[in-house]
Amino acid sequence: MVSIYNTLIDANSWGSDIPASIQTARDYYKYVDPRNFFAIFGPINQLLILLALIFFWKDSVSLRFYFGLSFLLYAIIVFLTFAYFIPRDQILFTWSIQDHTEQIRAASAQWIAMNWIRSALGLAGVLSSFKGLDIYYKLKH
Amino acid sequence: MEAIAINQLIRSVFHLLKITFAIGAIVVAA
Repeated sequence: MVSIYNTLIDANSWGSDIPASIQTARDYYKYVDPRNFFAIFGPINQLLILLALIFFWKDSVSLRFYFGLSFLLYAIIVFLTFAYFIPRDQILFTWSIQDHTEQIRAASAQWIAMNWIRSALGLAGVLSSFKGLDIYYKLKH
Repeated sequence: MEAIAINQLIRSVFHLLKITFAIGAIVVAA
């Protein structure tokens, strides 16, 4: 849900009237860096799903599959974040606006489009964990 | 008897721990 909020509200706000809107976004993030949030909760999420995978490992092969799939999907999100989003964050928030208006416009549109993919990966990871828990409770009762 | 009770307690704690990890991952990811 955080990711969907980022697309619908944050990224649309940054890109709504470039160059003025990106300057407003830079001013807004001047004192608190939003990466602080993701740098804490991203690793916690990855660690929790890894622990779930390890602790449910012996229960059944299908549980391994579903928790493993969640782990893989979240790992893909981390990879996408470093390989795709961070380079565009650099363009959006550090490049000179006057000299790179077109690149900033392009980066903003690409960021929004790809963030729908990132949200879909996260949703698939959550659903896969739901399925894992469902199988676990069916096995137990 | 006591050994069975302790065994059940350990199983319950282990079960809670497992679902805490799984549900925790769902809550944080969602």
